[in-house]
Amino acid sequence: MKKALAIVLAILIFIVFALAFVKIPFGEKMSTYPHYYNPITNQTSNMSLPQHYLTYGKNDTGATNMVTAIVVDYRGFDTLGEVTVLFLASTGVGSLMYVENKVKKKVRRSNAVVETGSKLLFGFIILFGAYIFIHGHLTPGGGFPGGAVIASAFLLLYLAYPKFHAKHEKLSVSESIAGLTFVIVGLIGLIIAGYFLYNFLPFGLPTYLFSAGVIPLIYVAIGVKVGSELTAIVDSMMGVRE
Amino acid sequence: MIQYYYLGSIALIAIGMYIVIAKRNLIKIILGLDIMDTGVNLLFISIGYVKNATAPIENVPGPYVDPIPQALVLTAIVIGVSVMALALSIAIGIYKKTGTLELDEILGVKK
Amino acid sequence: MIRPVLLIALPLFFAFLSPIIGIWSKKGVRYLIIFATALNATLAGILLLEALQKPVFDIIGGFQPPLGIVLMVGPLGAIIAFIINLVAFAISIYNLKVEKEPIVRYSMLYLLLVMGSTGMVLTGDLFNLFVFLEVTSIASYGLAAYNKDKKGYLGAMKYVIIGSIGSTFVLLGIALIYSQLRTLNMLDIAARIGTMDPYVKIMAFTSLFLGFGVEAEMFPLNTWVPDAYDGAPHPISAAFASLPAKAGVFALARVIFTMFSFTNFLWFVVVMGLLTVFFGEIVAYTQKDLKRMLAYSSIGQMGMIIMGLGIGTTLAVEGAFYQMIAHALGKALLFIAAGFLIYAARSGKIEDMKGMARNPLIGIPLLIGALSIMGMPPFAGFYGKFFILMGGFSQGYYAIIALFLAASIVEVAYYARFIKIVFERGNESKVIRPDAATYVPLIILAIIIVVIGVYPKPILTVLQHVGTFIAGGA
Repeated sequence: MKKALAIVLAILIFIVFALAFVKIPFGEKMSTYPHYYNPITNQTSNMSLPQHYLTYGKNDTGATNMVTAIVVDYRGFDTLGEVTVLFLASTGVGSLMYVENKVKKKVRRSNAVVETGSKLLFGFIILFGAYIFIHGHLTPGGGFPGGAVIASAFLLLYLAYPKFHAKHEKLSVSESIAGLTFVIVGLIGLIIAGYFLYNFLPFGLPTYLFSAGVIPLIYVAIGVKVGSELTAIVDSMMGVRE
Repeated sequence: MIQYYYLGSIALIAIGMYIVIAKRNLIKIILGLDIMDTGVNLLFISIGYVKNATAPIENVPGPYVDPIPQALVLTAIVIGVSVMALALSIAIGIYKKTGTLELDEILGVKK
Repeated sequence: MIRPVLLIALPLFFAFLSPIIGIWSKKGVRYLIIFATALNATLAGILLLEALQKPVFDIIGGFQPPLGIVLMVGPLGAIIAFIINLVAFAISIYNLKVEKEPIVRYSMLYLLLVMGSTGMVLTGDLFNLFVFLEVTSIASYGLAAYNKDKKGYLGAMKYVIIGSIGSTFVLLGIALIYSQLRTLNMLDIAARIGTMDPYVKIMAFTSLFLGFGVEAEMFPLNTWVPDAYDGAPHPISAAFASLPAKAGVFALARVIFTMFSFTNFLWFVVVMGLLTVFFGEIVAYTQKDLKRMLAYSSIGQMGMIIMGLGIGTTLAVEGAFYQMIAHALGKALLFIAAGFLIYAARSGKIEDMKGMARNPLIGIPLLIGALSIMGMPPFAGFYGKFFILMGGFSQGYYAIIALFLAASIVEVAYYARFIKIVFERGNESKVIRPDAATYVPLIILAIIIVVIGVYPKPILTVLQHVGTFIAGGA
């Protein structure tokens, strides 16, 4: 009975939304997009929003990677919210997995190949993660993938050494400092230029590492934050071990 | 032209919906939520597609695809991950308290 | 001159700061949260005064909308933000009663819940609204399960499942709008909504409406409400009723009026609202458990607000906003009082609470709160219901008015029953005196309810701007 209802509902949702999306063209040229309208100055622009980003993005933000320019600069406030969401997840998991009387679980050692291999790889993975988030404004990637790569290095350690335990205090301090960096960068923008999250540093030469103003700074903070948060989530979920 | 990408992603959403409603195991329900999430993300990405275009990075010659959906989906993915992490930790908590993940057993429903 | 963005940036700053402070002093974090919410409430008050002159736009990152994100604060948004932060301040005092570890994480989650709800009210960008919706709901998931007992976990699980479905729908609605208009700014969407394909437009509206309906406790997406409210710690039940719910219903109002510019009678919204009212009030009547009864009553009240928005005349929408304010204050008060009663009676059942409210420190605020929720003059709740009724009456929707009145009578009946039990004589020996962390927030909320009930002029001045809001302004 319940299954039949679920099938009917699923088919209904499929049909209703498919009918809506049939009307939406796929893969059309950007020149057919509608032009945007600025509600504050009451002016209609002569191009669409994505065209504006692609045409003026480099001058507006100094970043080569337009997705990064949007994520960190044009819509940086969303990213601040996103970082907060991840922070909330790590805080929430930490509070739900908190145990008052710590009963330690027995765990088995893994074998020598895994242990040595993970020791060998750990540094390289961290380095790769750092590379990804430092170059976020130039190449595909950025703070979130970079942070996830760093967390995967820690995950490897958890697999190889079942007794391994990242210090929660240290993780939460690095989380906090990275989050505070983001907010403080935003507030400095507010003080200097009157806009929260304003890109107040010089843009430099495009395609160079030190370019795009505050974007690399924010992405480094995000990378550190995401790395420590995902590690903290994994650590909380593993529980207390011996 | 039929938009296979749209239809495929909507099908994912519908499948996820079916799993969430029909299944009675918490892990399966959480997986269903994840499938729904993936469906919406794919849908969003395909909205931004432009034929014969590449990733919007300046040192590759254009034309480029719409960069906004990619940026939005990046946010949506992170949000989805966070929800999954919390949902799974709540499921772990339920397992610790009741020793099962079957909803019928937890709620004491007789079959 | 105050920037709306500070209402979001400062709580974030304090939330990120609190783990570092928590290493030295856990108590320090608790007082830091009280300070942060008090600061936020003050800033929101100043913002309200400014927004009354003209709507405040705060451009973030220095990019003109729709290129960047803009915060858009009109008088109505400002007063809802002010009420949310005021109630959050009162509840943060009651938070001192929570003793379960880890208290630092609890405080951070609470502060971010306040931040998320405020952000949902202030933002002028559709995707940003989604991000804040997620901030709010993820903080709520974590807090709903905070007690770490079976009840809390199950309530939170239900909330997670329904909440995720809701956010999927919100994202679908955003995708539909974006695919046709290629913009995310609300005013930009509003200006060009007419160019959308009618079917796509209706689907986008339905998706967004259902998605925000989860937070606004709309039928049939409200099955999480009683379980999550019941399983959460007492201050969090109070916070749920007044912060995310109000932010969610304000987001609904934004969707209906600002973005889609529906000004006439929306039968779909009114029917959903009526169903919500009936579901909530009738189930509430059958409840024996105090927190569950209040949760169902909260559903009923939210239904009244949704109905007021759906009727869509200036008077009815004014009523809906008045009801939002009155409900945020009154329900927070009742949940705090319920927390005390459950603590005093050592049971959640209403019948065990005989005479427990006979201490005046708890009894008088409780009475004021209950009368206000019931809609008795001269308390705040009266005007909300009265305006919604008059709004319906002036348009000639007599059937709806009759049903609305019937639901209100059910509401009066079960609150009267509850009040009769808690003030009954004959159990004096067991009555205990509340401590400061309980009665201070109760008295703060009660005073506000009486003041805006007896002297409603300031609120009515703000609500005069409803006309512009309905017409699609900020």
